[in-house]
Amino acid sequence: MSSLSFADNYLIVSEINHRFHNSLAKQIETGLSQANHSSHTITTNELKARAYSDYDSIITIGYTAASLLFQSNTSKPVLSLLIPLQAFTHLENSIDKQYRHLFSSIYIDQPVARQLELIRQLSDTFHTVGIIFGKNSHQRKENISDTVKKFSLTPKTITVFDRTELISETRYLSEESDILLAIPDNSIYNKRSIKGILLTTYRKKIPVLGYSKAYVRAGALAAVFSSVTDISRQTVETLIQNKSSGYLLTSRSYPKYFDIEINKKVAHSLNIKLRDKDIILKNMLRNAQNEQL
Amino acid sequence: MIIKTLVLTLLLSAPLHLFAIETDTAAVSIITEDDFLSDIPIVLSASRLSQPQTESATSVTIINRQMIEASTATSIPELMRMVPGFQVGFYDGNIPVVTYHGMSDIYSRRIQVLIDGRSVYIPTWGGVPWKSLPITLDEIEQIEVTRGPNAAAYGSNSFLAVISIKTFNAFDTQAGLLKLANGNNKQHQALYRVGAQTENSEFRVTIAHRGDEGMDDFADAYDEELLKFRIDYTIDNNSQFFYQSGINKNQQYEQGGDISLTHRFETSVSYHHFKWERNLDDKSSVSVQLYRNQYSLNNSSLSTEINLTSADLGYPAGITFDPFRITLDSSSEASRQDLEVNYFYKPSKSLRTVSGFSTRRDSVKSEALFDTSETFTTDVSRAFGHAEWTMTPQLIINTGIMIEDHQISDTSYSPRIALIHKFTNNQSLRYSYSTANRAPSTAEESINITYRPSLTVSGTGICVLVTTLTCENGTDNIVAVPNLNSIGGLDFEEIESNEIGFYGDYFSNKLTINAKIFHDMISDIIVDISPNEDGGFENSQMLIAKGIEFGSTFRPDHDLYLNLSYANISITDKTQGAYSTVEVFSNSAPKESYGLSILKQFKSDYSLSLEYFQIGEMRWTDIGSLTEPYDILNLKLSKKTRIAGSKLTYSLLLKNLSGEYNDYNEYGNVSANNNSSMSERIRLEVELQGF
Repeated sequence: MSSLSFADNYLIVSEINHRFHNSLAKQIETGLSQANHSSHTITTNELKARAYSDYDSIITIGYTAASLLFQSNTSKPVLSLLIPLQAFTHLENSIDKQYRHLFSSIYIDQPVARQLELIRQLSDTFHTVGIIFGKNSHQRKENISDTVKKFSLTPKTITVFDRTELISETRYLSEESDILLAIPDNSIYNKRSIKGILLTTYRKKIPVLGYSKAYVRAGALAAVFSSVTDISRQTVETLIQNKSSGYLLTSRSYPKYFDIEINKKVAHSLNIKLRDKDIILKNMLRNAQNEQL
Repeated sequence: MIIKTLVLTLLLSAPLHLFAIETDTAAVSIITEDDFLSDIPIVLSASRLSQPQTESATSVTIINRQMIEASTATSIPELMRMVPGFQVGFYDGNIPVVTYHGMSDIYSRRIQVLIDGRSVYIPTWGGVPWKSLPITLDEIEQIEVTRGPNAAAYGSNSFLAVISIKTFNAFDTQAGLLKLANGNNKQHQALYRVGAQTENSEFRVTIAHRGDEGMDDFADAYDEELLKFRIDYTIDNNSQFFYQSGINKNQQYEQGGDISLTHRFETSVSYHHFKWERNLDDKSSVSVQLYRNQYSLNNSSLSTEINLTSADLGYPAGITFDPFRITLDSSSEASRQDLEVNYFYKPSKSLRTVSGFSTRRDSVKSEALFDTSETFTTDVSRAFGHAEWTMTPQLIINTGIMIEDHQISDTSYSPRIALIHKFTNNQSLRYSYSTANRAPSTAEESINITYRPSLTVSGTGICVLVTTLTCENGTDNIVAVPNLNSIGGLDFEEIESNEIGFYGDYFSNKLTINAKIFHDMISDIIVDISPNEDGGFENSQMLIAKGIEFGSTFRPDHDLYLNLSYANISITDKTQGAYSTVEVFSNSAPKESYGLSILKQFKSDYSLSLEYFQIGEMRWTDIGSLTEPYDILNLKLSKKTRIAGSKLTYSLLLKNLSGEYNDYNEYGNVSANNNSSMSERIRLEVELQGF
């Protein structure tokens, strides 16, 4: 367990001019204030010049802020927000083991199990789940495949290291899958590749389950995600709970609160009959409580 | 020749690329919150999403990439055999003709073919230069075939059917591709494709050379060289454009007017195509398309020797003339320029609309065909609108109209209305009524072929100028070489089509059934009346075409795929009057035709494809005799493997295993005594992808 304890004066370090980050910082400030905690937000540029010994603990928003703290030899506990699991693990591995207990996180990623639960709730017609792994995610292949099987679904995976093969491999994967599960890996999913992936799967009548709202807007069938409000709520709750219990209950956790987005136009075009969004979300929330998804 | 050299050079340099494969798995990059939070381009915008087939207003057959790869087809026309109601023939053994419900000669004028939305129709005689199109099977993502008129969406000449070919965008084809093929009858092919990308754009370049010696004992060999380029550019998250261009230079051999003399003709087809699309918001988008096609044919041959007697020319008896030959020339230049603007708007969940306009100019120049150096231009302006209204979850109304102002045939209106009743989400019944027009081609309207052979009196060298030559079906040593002069003033051909269609998919799309009953009335058909008159064309015939079509796909698992097609077509000639027997359309489509394609993939990376087609007796309208019933059996065995990180595929194609056949009786210029026919074909293809 991390030793982020009994802190009532928080420093929030956020990236400059980032709408999502700023909004999250403000909501956390408000939430802490309502709980009679004080906090102050600075940018990553200001962090370099500012001594943060006055603060009991630090909240970083985004990868840049987190990496600065990992490199800072801080003795203060740090809670990292808006950071992907892969990036947090990378930063953690970059420091000496004896300091790792200072760092905790609420990842930006959704647990794969939650994505699979969404697949299961969307429709009964999805049996085989296609997954593309790349150089930033192939280490998780075995774990994720096992998780897919736990949901009584069949994993069909490919690993693509050569970007020029991405589309042809996606085409072959689509022929053997009912739905493509996108997992965070920017060697596979990026602004340049997403067009080819979405068009290729669409022509094969295979929907994509994205990992952000932007993917749904671009053409994915659905995604589970956490909003600014969801993350700030969990953050404030975690900090308050920490205050009262003396330690962080969950030092590294996935988002607790979430929402789903569905692209009904894509569903209609692919002739996929989906369950009602409210029912899906309700079922997911219920199962999340029961199964810790 | 330049392209051939380029192909060879690149093929020789290919191994260098093999060593440049990106296999550095250790170079892990960091995933940041930007990968979750950044906006990404809207790919499947509302305008790009097609409606499910259960809601389609027309009968549609999709030939997808998997079917193309599984097929033994080495050309697009061969793929069309899989589509119910389609007929495919090879005039002179090497000129593909594709039609739907018959009614075609060598120039299949009544179907529209679009490549990425660009019409490839030749304005000279009409029809599509399949052999010379700058396109390869390897770049086709899918082919969507609308079986039935669709002028409301695509304008005139979308008369009997529309073949819409969609090619990969450049991003899809970044992996290098090298393909080599060889087979009997000197079949050969070399293709090299390479892609590249920058921050906002992707490119593709393709070069290819291919050829075939054709049938045994017959001059139908061809060779072609192709060069293509495409760029897809993402301007921002809501807008993008593509530009593509290509050229195909084709040399074909044929036995011309005198079949003992082989001659070569050359075709060159090139194009430029630009399309810009922008999503205005979640409900609307706009696109602008501009293209130019250029077509050039250089073809002249000599007739057989003509021996005229003094009686033929009304001269006193006793004068004899030296035998002579006529140059039969069909050389021509043609171009098509088109600008089209489309606006998509979805004002509510239950209504979506498309509207737009276009302007087009067709230009044709041929001294041989028109007896003038003048360029004929035909301007066409079009406005169109479509609406799809989902009245209830079960009932959809789809309606549209195309208004076309055509320089040759004035203004035409092509409306369509379809009522679609969905029993369930996966089964629907459709009634559709539509009309369409076919505008006369430039040649039909304005042709003026005049032969001016010079005769010499035997033994004297005295020239006699013969200004016209109308010797028809004379004695054995006089060939029929009539002049052909269009009367002009032609009107649109018209079709009025009624169909009831059913579409259903079962077991989570594992089984699909696509069936329709149709009744088409076609009137004012333009026919060549030259056998009755002194050449020319006239709107004179009327037909009723009716029948049923059935298509089904079955895919019980990911390793097995079946495609089944059946068509029963009956055409009745309702023409009254003097020209009722000028052209015979009533048996221009087979009464029955069947198709079966099976693909089986094995765990060992082998796959086996089988195709069987059976086509009933039919008659191409420019051939005097019937094409006898025939069947085609093809097999393909493929093996996939990996080499140095690239995918290597070997394929063995065995075609025409059920015996020889003729799919275009007499093969045009081949005499009835020539036994040339399509015989067994063996072909080995090797494909290396991903370097």
